[in-house]
Amino acid sequence: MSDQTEQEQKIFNEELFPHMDALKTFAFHLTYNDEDAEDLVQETYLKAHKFIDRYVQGTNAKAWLFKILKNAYINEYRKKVKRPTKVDYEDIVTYQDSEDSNMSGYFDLREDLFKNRMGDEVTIALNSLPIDFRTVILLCDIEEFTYEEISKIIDVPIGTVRSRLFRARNMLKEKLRNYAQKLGFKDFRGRDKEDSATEEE
Amino acid sequence: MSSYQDLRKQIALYFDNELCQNDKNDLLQQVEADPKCCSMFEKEKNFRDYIKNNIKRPSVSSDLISNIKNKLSAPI
Repeated sequence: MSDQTEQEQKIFNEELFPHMDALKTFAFHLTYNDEDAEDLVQETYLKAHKFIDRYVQGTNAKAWLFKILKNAYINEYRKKVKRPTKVDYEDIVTYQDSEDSNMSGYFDLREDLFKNRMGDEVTIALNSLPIDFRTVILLCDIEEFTYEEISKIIDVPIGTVRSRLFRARNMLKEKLRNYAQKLGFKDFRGRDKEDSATEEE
Repeated sequence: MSSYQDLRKQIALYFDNELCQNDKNDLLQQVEADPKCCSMFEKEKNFRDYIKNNIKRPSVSSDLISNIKNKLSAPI
């Protein structure tokens, strides 16, 4: 075995393979099924192998792999399968990136994809969010990437990461409202002005 | 903090680990001093924990691991 091959193997074993479970979870929530998720993870490692010379040993392997997986999903997987959303994403971005957080009217647009699925409510609720909102929740709340890392993985400014997360969590809370109410959450949408006025009194 | 909205954003940033130490300290003092703030803080914490603990995390099959290792070891 050459020194280079040995070095590559070391990088894979020590830095890249330990993130396989996290990649599988991310891929599963992008593709909605186990088989496609495994294909995507495999594709990710093959691409990592192909471009291993671009990886600097000891740097952020997890973020690097997630970026590869995200790009593989966008560039290849989504071309092969039926587009998983029926919502015009640009309409949502325009709407959601405004400061108005009154979000009634589109939460259940994609509900038909999941109405026949049984499973835990978090997975169903998360998977029913539009892809870009789902992605930031997965990267931040599940994988604990920083805003800066997420910004690099999904190629958007940090401010967009922040606002998208804020909107995504509101959407998720709406989906999980029944559960949230048991925990003591209330539906504060549209009440910000009222609350602010109360606090300022 | 001037409003409910600002407080909510600060709490989100706290749990995202995106606040500087001074802002963290300020927020924690407010959480300690203000029951409404404390309640919001706890609810957000519960929500984050709930999502994290209940998300489906499908396991990686042994076939996938061996497939990847075989493909990587094969000559390109």
